[in-house]
Amino acid sequence: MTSIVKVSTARNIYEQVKWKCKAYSSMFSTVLILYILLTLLSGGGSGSLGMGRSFVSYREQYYTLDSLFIFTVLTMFIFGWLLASKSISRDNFSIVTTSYTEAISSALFLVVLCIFTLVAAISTLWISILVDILRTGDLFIFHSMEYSLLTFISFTVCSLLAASIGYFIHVVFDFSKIVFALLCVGMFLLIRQYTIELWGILFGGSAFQIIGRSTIYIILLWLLIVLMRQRREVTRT
Amino acid sequence: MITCKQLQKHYGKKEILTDVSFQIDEPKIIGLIGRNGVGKSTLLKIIAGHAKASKGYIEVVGQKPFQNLTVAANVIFIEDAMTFPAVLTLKEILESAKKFYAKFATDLAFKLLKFSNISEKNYHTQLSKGQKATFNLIYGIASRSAITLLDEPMNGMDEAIRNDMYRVILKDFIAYPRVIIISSHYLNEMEQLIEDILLLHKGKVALFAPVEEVQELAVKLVGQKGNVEPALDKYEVLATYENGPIFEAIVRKNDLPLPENVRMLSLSASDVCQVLTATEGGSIDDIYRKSEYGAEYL
Repeated sequence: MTSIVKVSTARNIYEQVKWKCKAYSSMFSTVLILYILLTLLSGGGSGSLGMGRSFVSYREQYYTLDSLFIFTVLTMFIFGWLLASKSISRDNFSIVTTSYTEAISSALFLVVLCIFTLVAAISTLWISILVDILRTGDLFIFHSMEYSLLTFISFTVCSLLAASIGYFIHVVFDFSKIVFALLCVGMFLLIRQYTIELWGILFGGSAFQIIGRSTIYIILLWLLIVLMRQRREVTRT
Repeated sequence: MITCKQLQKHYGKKEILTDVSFQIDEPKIIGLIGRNGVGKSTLLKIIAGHAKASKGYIEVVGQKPFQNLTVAANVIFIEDAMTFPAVLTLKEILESAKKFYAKFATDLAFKLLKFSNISEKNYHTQLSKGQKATFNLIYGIASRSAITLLDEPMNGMDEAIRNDMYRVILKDFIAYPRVIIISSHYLNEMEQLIEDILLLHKGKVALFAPVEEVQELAVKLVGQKGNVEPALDKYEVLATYENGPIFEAIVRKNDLPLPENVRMLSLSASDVCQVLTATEGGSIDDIYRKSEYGAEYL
């Protein structure tokens, strides 16, 4: 005789995140391959600060994550959009889920993906430095490194915000085509009116403000996503 | 386990289910029968919590099913359109299923997969239509969910594998009794398998009864038109067919004596369901008979 199974929401979300990490592992490998290609082609986003030849021949070089950061934001936006697409989200209903747990687990999966992109970005930057040294045969003297926990958190939060916006826009698209059109017009006007002041109003000036406000936006976006998804019926076609 | 009272579902102005009421309390295999577009899949989706009823009352495992995690954990809904992540092999899909379906019989699933000649190294997207249907059915049966909903599970399968899969359903039900609802157009094949028939017609439950009762509902009277037609006054006529000199009438069974020179043939549950859900426009014979091009086609 069959019995009714009780399931914990937290446990279900945890299992879903693990499942998504496996099921959408191609996103991780795509990020890694693109990063390696991008850093190798751009020389790790490096630039020359100066050089001297009078006493000793030296070359001062800097390496930055700036180009990777911009690339990450765009990539995460696309991944967020893709993750909300019907072709992917219908796969999620082959396991035990609801629209609520699906949305929450997708958000947590994106957090994992964003942390991975950060690690991948730093790793590929180091790989590009190593390739540079091996290529030139220079003696490498490490001077300084402006890495901070705040930078890492900012990188992760900003990429998560981009992914959340991508996911949100797709959910709006599924929810109502009219609302989607209005959202697109609104975003277009916002981008057209872009100024440093507007950026300041939206995200603040300091790293703390950027992290704090971005986190609030992320939470608000996911609340809206859950609200919209709760009303949606499941379609597998 | 499942209670529906005056359930309604409409998409926009299109009414799919108008008044569906039934109750299932004990484990059994039920055939969900009805014409195309009558709302069988919609009803299964509502039970699975994938779709929301527009009106009426529904309770599955004691809870409202729409977007309910407890219902999701106890109900599996297998349909044609079911998909799995493209990067996972069948082996990975089956191995991860145990994490979500507490009673998932992984070993059984692998054995059935091997029996069906489907390699566990395949990806779901690589499978043929019949293989996909077979895998989906194996996944659904192996989940051993308290309520298993199978929407046209045999579509695309060849006859041999269909027969095997019917046996799988029956054997697994005997081993682990639960509610299994199968929506299918192959009622003839399923008659030996199912206990009850839930017949949907015009958005309502036309019949919910054991297969034997359905088979006993109607009979076919066969004979010369002159012999059969006069006797029809005593019966509730459900349908008539005329093939040259032979006249056939499907009527509700009663205990009256059979008229002379008229044979009475019993019907299968499938035949009874077909008659009960017949369109009001008559039969195909009528169209050809009445058509101005009838002679040409005949």
